Amino acid sequence: MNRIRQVARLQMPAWPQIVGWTWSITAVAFGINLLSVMANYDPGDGVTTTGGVVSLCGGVIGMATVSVTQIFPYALGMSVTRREFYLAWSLLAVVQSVLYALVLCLLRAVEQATGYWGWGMRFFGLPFMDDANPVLLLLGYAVPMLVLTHLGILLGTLYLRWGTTGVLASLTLTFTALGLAATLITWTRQWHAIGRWLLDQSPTALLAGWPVLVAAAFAVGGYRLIRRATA
Amino acid sequence: MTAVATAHGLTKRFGDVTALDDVSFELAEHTIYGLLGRNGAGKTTLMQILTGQAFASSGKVSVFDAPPVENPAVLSKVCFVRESQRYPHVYTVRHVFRTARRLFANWDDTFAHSLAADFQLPAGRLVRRLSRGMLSALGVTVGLAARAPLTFFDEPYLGLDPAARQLFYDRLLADYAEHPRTVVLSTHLIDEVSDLVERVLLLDRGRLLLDEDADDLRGRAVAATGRAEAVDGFAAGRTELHRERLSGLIRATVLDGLGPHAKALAQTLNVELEPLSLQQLVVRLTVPPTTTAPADREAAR
Repeated sequence: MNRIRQVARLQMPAWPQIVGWTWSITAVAFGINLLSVMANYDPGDGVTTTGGVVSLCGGVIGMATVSVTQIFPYALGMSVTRREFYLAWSLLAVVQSVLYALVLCLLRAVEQATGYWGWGMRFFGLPFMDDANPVLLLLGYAVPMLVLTHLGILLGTLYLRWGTTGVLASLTLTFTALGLAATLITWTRQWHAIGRWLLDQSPTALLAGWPVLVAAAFAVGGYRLIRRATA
Repeated sequence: MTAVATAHGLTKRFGDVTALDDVSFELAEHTIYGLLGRNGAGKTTLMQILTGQAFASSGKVSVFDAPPVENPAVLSKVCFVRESQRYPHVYTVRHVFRTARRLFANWDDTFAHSLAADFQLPAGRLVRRLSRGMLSALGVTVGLAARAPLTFFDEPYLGLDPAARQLFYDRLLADYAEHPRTVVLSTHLIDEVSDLVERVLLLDRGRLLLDEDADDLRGRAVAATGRAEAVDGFAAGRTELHRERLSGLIRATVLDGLGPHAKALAQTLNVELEPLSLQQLVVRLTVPPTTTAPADREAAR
């Protein structure tokens, strides 16, 4: 565990950039959202949910990918095993997800306390989280962050193994598969059943349970890829 | 002799290209090796496989009695300084030292800083902003200060000026005397390291051509100069690597031509003998037979 922690610290010099870029993107999205809400402001409208918090997603995925592709060749050169590197980056993913989730909980609280930033703009909160208890709220932010971080790591390992072609080919295949699946669902008139299944899930399962499985699937995939990667 | 690493029938293929072809050898404890060979001979690939960074296509590799791939116990005793080592974009020289201190068990911080001062490495500068020579100096510093029982330097001198290279050789020898370990030095500046290396591994197009003591090799080849019949007489029964014509005389590069018997023969035949340096020997052994110098073509006519 000590070794994994030491390997994880290889990312430390990059933290200002990782955190800075991720939250700068979100801050810009926040500003633009707020401006457009102000431009269309009508006191009778109540609260507008912009869902702008998804702007965080791109930053989280991108930074995880860059961090893997930048630091893995160095780690390998410093006699670190691929396994140690992957465990360290998984640990970083958990720590970062929890920290980001705490910040998001805090921003959500500020959002509510300020009457949605004074202009009725809900940016950080999401409607289906309204009834969540504090623990579930934290998990509801942290687990999707974990999914995104592991997706970023997975993309990074794809790049390490097969370069840009590998990443683009994998994305193309994935979109093809998802598109075909959607077509199949439409064809067999299953959307209604899927909708009902989703409604039957508990908030815990939806916000934390199923996403954890997705994160685990990404993590297993990334681990298998990196084990044969060369610098 | 205690072996710290062994390779048996090691082969590495990249598609149609065979980078390493059935290579077998041992690396002994507390020895400095020169890993020699032309560009593309397979030197870097060999070191990558020995350090678990690349995967062999077939054959067996064992480092500290275990396979090196994904083996933390083995890799903790290994340091590989690559000429083409990539550093993270945001890293400064100081970051590299800090991470090396955490990751290499035998890391000597004082030694690292004295080397950095010798090479005038700017601690606060981004690694990607270092000059070619500074980058080499950084690699050399990490490789020396890590004090790994098995250390590989892959062309560490690139971009280093002669004074800095001499500094590297001096510091390596001094530290090696105090902390003996196995060092593998891949280099093209063979004459520069010929006093440093104790044993030579010579790769040529993926095959191991030589695995011999450097001292033995230095006496292995001679250039024999004289009239054609005299040189023919001297070279008879010996392996001739090369022949050229020099204003009416013939100069032949011959193996095993430095014994007392050979010397006496040369004197009788009026053939002048001149020992070949390690570098000249390596050149003679690894120049492809198809490229013939103009002088040789003339001689062949």
